[in-house]
Amino acid sequence: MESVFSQNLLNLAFWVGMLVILLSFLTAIGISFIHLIRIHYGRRQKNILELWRPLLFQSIEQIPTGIPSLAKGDIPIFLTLWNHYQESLRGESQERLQRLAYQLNIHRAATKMLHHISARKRILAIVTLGHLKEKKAWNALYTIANKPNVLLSFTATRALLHIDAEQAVPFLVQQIVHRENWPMPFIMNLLKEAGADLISPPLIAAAEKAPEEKLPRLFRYLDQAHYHTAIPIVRVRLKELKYPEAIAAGLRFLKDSRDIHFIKKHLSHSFWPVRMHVAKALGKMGSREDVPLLVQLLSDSEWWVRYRAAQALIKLPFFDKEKHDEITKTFQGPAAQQILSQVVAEEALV
Amino acid sequence: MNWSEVILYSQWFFILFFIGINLGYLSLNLISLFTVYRYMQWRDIHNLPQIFSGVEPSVSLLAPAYNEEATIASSIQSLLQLSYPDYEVIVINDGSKDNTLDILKREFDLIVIPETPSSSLVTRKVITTYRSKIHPNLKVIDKENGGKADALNVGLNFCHSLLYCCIDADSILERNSLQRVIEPFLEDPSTIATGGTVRIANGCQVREGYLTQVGLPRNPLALFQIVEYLRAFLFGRMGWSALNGMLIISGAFGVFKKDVVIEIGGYRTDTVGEDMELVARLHRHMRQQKKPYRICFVPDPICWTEAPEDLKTLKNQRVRWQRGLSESLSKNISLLFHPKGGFVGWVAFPFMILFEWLEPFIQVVGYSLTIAAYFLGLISGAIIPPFLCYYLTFASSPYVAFRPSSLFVQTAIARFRLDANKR
Repeated sequence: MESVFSQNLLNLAFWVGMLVILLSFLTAIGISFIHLIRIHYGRRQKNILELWRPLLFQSIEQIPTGIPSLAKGDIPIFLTLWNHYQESLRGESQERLQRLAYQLNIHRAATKMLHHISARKRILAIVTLGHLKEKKAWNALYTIANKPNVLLSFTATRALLHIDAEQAVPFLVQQIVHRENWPMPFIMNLLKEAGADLISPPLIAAAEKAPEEKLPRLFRYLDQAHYHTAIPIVRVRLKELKYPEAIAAGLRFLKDSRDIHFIKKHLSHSFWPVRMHVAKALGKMGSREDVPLLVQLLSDSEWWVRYRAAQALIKLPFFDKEKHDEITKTFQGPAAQQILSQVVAEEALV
Repeated sequence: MNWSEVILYSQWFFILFFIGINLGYLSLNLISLFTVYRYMQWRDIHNLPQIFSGVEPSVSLLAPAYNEEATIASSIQSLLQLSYPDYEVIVINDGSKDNTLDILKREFDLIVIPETPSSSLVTRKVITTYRSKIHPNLKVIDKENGGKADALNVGLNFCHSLLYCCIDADSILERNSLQRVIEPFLEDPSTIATGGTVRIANGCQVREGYLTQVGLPRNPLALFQIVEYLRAFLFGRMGWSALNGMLIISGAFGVFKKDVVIEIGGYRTDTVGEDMELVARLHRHMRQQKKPYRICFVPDPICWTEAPEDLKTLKNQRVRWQRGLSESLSKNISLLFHPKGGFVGWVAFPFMILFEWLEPFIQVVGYSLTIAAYFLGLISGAIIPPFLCYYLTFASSPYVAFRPSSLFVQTAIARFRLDANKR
């Protein structure tokens, strides 16, 4: 029995080794294959780019006559180049490239590519349809934008924005409230693209109703909205907020000197980013009476609070050497003196 | 029990070990292929022209330097040209005995600025802190010699960004390396550390701190190491990263959340593998605290570094690495099979112990037992030729098999980069 078992184990070890060796040979063949594809693809890409790059460049000014037809296999390479130009251009140049694409039936090819098995080709198709502002693709793109896949949903939402910004913006705002896995830098770029006029109403409405935990991100997005329409909602929300991250994000948004009394109430908040924003605000909007508050913050336990308080202090218009000496005498520990010395030295460097 | 019985029974262990190591690496290989495929989808979006949005977090690059007078100026110059909106470079001169500090003062017009630390990790004495008049985002800290870990702790004390990136002073980063390696932090706020790929600069053309052309070295030792690095990074770490079981981030190029590293006490100065020990300790801390976290690997951002080209230096490096591995695992042994250890404690950590740490010893013992078996008459001389064939194929199969796989993954990524660069 034991010898049968050990024999079986030996056989298993043998076949595992054989499998691994076989896989390594297959991998080696795969590498060679990829290299061949790469060489072939590189040559083909070079030919396509040599043909189409000058034509696209010319089309920025005027679509030339006698445009060659586009072979089916060349479409992905062409679209990559075409989209790259689209990202860089605005206005009539962009429109001319769109007309060229329609001339080449790109809109049909891209619509078909939406169902391609390759995710990369689907993404390429989504981006293309967005740049083409192809209204017929709206429903298909809307479906993709609602899928859980981050990459596809984000790209599709961006494409919807390109097609019809006014119709897409409410959907975009709904997505950014609920989808916390969309990268913030990308969202900020989208909001910038859409423009403050369009995004302000739905974004402000969302900030008005959203639960506190969503507000830190929403308040950051409000940077892209019209300040004068957003600020009343931020003020209202700040009055009732308990969630510290939301308070810090909200304080960051306040720029009006009328808000200074409200800001000062958070001077001793337990969450240090709140105290830091108080320091910054006092520097921008404070008066002589607020100097003792900034001096108090120079001894804060958190470095960033001390640093911002020191920066705020030296930037006050009435802060001079006499004031500096006067303040130094009131310090109760080395931390305040050290941070102020650092900031004064940094200021001299600028 | 006599020696013959010991040898016979031990064969069970070696067979099981052989099956385990091959299946383990095979699984990592398959996972990494899938992960690279998914990662390359995102690259399509990132390869469109990007404008920084202003919400990217500030990053401090910590570059400990010890006797680097030959390359420090060009290395720092290249770090100051990275494509990222908000970062600072902190060079920590770890008591260099050569002209490293003088060169920095001269090349970057340094003046003394009284910097205040924001953390209080215990370190060797800081002598002076400098800022550059011509590069406002360059700081230099001069300190007493205390080793790389101590220098990094000093850097941590004086860095004020949310994230920091530890690099070697002689490493070369690509211009978008920092941008790429930060992305996981933006995509998932639970990310606490990321590592990038380290590749070998031997044979490449480097001009004024920039890699201008990739090439292969002529030195055979360096050539072997190129494939070895590919295997280690592109499917070892990619595989573990997907399972949140990555126990190593290279000290040559890694990004960490500063507050978490400070929370666990910074780098240990009593180990030679401070980079790996830190990551193991991060896992242990987050698992024990039951906090959600992610430590991941990004295959695209690349850091280039010189590899040893002579046996003596290579031997010293590998002894140091193995020692570092040994110390990192032993200092965090409580993670092994810990009830809260999760995948790291129950799979990644034992895997590392058995198939990385103990594997060289197991191999040596295995060969020794085979030789002993021959002299004990348990195996005949006729076994020698097939044994040699066996060794060259099966016993070395983890290396024979998985090196081509790493080439495969790298070729796939390179093809993708070719597409992006040709536009």
